[in-house]
Amino acid sequence: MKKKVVAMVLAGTMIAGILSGCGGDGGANQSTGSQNTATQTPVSDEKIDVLNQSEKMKLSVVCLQGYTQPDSEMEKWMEERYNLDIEVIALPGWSDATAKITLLMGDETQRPDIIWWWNMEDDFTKWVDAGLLVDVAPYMDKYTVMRDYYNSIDPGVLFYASNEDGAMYRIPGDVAEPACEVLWIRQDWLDNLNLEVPTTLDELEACMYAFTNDDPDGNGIDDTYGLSGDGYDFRSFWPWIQGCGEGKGWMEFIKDDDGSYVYGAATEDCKTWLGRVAKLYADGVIKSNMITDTDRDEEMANGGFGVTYSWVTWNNPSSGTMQSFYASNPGAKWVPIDMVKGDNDHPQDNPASIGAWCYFGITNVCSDPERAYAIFDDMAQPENYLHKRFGVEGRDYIDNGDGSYEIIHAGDGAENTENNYGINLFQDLFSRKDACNIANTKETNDLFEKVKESSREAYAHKIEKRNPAAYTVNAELGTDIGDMMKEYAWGVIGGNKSLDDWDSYIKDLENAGLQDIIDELTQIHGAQAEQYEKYMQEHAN
Amino acid sequence: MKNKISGTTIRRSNGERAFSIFNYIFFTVLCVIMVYPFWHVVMMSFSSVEATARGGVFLWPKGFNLDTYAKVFRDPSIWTGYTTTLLVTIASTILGTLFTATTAYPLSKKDLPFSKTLSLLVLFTMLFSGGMIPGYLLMKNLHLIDNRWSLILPGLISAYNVIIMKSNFQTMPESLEESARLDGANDVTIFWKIIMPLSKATVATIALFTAVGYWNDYFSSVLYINSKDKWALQAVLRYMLTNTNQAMQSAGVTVAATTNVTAATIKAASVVVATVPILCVYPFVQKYFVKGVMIGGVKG
Amino acid sequence: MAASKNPAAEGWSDKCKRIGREMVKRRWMYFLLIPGIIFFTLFKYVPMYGLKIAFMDYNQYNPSQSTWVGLDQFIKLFSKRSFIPVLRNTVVISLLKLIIGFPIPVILALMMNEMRNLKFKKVSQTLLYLPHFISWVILSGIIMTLLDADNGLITTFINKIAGSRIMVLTDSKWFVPMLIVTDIYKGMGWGTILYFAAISGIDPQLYEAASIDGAGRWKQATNITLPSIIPTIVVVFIMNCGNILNAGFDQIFMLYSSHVYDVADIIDTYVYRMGIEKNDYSFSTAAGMFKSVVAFVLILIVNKIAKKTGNEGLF
Repeated sequence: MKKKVVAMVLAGTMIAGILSGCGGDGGANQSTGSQNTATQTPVSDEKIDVLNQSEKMKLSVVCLQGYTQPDSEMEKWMEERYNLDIEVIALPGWSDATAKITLLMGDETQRPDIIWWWNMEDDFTKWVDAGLLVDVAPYMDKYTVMRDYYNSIDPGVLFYASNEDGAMYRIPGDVAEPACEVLWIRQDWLDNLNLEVPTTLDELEACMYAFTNDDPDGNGIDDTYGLSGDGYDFRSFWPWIQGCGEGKGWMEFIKDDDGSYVYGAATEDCKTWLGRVAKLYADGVIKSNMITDTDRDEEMANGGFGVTYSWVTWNNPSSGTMQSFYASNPGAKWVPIDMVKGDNDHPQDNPASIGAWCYFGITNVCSDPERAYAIFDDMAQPENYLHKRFGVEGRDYIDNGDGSYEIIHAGDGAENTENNYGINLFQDLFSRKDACNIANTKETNDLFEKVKESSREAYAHKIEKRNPAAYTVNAELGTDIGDMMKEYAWGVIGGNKSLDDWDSYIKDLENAGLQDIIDELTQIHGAQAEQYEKYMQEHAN
Repeated sequence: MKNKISGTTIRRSNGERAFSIFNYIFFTVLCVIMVYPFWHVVMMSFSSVEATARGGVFLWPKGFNLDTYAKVFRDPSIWTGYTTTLLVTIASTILGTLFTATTAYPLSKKDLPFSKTLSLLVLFTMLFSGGMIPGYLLMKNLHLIDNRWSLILPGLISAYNVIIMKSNFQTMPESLEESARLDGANDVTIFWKIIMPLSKATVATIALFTAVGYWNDYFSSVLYINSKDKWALQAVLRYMLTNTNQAMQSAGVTVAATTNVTAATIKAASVVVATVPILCVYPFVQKYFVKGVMIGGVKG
Repeated sequence: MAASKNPAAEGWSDKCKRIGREMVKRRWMYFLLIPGIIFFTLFKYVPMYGLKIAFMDYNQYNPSQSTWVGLDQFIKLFSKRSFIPVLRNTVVISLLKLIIGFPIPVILALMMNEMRNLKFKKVSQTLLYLPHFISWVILSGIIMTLLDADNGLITTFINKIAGSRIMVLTDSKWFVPMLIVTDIYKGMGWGTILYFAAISGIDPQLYEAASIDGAGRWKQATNITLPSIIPTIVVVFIMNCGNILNAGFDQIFMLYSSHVYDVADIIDTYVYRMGIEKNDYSFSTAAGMFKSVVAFVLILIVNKIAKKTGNEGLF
């Protein structure tokens, strides 16, 4: 029996081995299709007039959000306008999209002309090395709508999209507003309890205690909390993070004022804010499910708390979350307030990344990359963008003429799918956050402007990586360190771990290689910082 | 019903009666617990968006409405998804069950040369697989990318089912086959005329496993299908549920908030839409389990 | 597979002749095997060359750039500081699921077989399968609602009994029991199907003979029904043993958080978190292969034990 089993296993391995030989050949054949050298970008002498092209061009586009079904009105509009034959390859939801993108890019027979992706930094580097993507930097100089838009937001956007040699193999698909969260408070509760709008962290905590203990809704039942928000997410505690000590207790690596790199979660500031939040949690001022993975929109719709740090867009009357909150809480009133002042005198809002969270690129199978780029650039023009993003004036939205708009059919509505309008097609293949985003009211735009201003000092500490794939030490050790940090910090907040163990926590982090990651940051990110300075000087208007 | 096993009703001790009562109560309670999540989902799918956002326990719909179903069914891709899934499930169940049986039957004969070797090689595939990329390259070389056959072929026979069926065939008495062989029947005839009809319950089980497996499969659509109108139902539903991603969240991108809040009801409705048809198949299969006893009973 | 037949054609002439004759005699059996052999060769064994990437630093976009690294990926996996605790968690969770969860469908099937009201039996059978059809994504949503730390139905109930605040989802003491209970809950009904199929194949004459001999229901169940389904139980058990390193990724992934990493972080969730940083197929293939090898060895051992104790094995 034993011998037989061994023989079987050997046989199996041998077969696998023989077959692996065939597989190897197949792989070799495949690689000959794509040259190893970086492809030279073909650039025509003249600007291509995308509206008057006699030759029909096939264009396959990968996208996830914003696609409903084939041959929508919007798709036909594009096909007609640019003389295209568009084929959309829809990605099947967030969790499996990466697998699909990997397969599509690895197969020269199925590779799309336009690829869209997010987070796949390592793969991106391999694509560039294998010559699968076209450098669009020369096109950007010729067709300037997208470039100018991004530079108007922050020249850093394109810095992070480009390579060190200036080549640009990816176009930013969607970039968040520079800051998108704001401190919210229940104005009606403040009024009921005769409280002032808090301006300091201590006052904020006092309000939260009052909201918890003094029955702010006057129903005689002890059913209210001070704080809630996105559960199991440190961002919900931003007012404490920015306000405790120097405000360096971020739960990530940051750049200190002197240009050195530190792990925010290992600073004394972090210990301070964890202690304060843990006390609030133990006192029942923070909703108990906030240490579990709850959804901020659901929590908001539920209500029952008076303070939260959350989306600016909730300020829009069209916000579904706020609509469902007000539907069950008539008379309630949430207002956005200025960030409260903590130990330091620099109240800051939470800055978002300047780098795009997703990108798209033109692949080497595209028959005319320049024309493809020119088409996307033309679609980025405000009037075209408005049409693509919000549909037809009068039918899908109403222009009130005073700068305000009313959305009738949203891209995620049933009418859009049923009538196959195709509103918001290619949602994340370029999107504008300026006045063209008519979903925002004027007040919301002002609020965005305000939180942007009040987040720049904090932004100076934020670390953004131009080429995350280069940080190999971080890839090796980062997960373990992040896990340790989360395990300890959430344990402290929830009361299962003690701040007395802080020193051993720090020791664990150090043993796991914290200094190696910091050294790597100093080396790679330090060099990047110089390039950034230079780039920003060159691109300062 | 009239063939209910007689004799057993004759004598029943007190202990047996007590057990019987306990049994019924136990299963009633168990069923209630089992049904609850499904009930919860169904009721949620009929509830209003505002009510679901507030969460809690759903014994009845809160703010009854059919908007969610309207939204789900107004999407044409649901219907293309149903078409693909039905075609794929029916074809795969028939072919898969048949081939599982034809593979398992020879392997159940221990005296057949190499049957043990082959069994082990089948078992081996249950534990080791080449992974996603070789599977894709195979489909590509067979020119089946974006073709519905790519949804059918790769999972047609599962090692698990072969083993189950094989062990069922091993419990069959040799004598039946011997007598047929004396009558001059060959192995194919014996398999088709004698073995298969006697294995109805097992065949039904394997068919059910195969059908449910294919019905719930979405990952093949992810891997091998590019055009959305050829996606299987499960892939369509997953796509519908596409919600904010962590990367967007941490970048601070908020999607139009309507999507977020409706996600719960849409999720619920899509579970109902996806599950109810396959549940309807079950009673037909169940018949064979019960019948297995009855046919035997008639003979006795 | 076809290749393995060839050695039989050479050497030890007598034995080979006998086997050859036997093969010719049973040619129709091999005819039946044709679709199976084609299927397993083409769709299972041909893609198996993909296992080689566990020994490589694989570049799927430019395979010629891939390099052989020997056992580096495995060494990387084993030398992770979290590897031992993660392996321990995996084994503990799946062993508990196996030991507690395995007998339940058997017991349920036997109990249900005692029901003589066929309608009730049929309905309750069908209802027991429902949780199987609800994915972990949905089910975990419901579980989280019921266990919500703030106002969950079960939390409120537990707190009333215990008199203190118990948060199952973030408490290391409660999390694993919760995993096991919910896993049994989801799978036990569906798990009975195989046993029902086996029970329905039992010859009713056996029961009649037994009842004539004066055996009660209990005796019939333990002396006829149970022994008749033992082969099925053994086969299912051996196959479940192959899952010892699959503690249930979907379930744990949807429910866990850093609060319970110390008890609930398993190989799959750990490898997944590692993979978020880097889309590394070689590493995850190596982790998968490690699991498969362990499962294979375990199945061989359990199969041998089963045969030694007089049962039919898998092969």
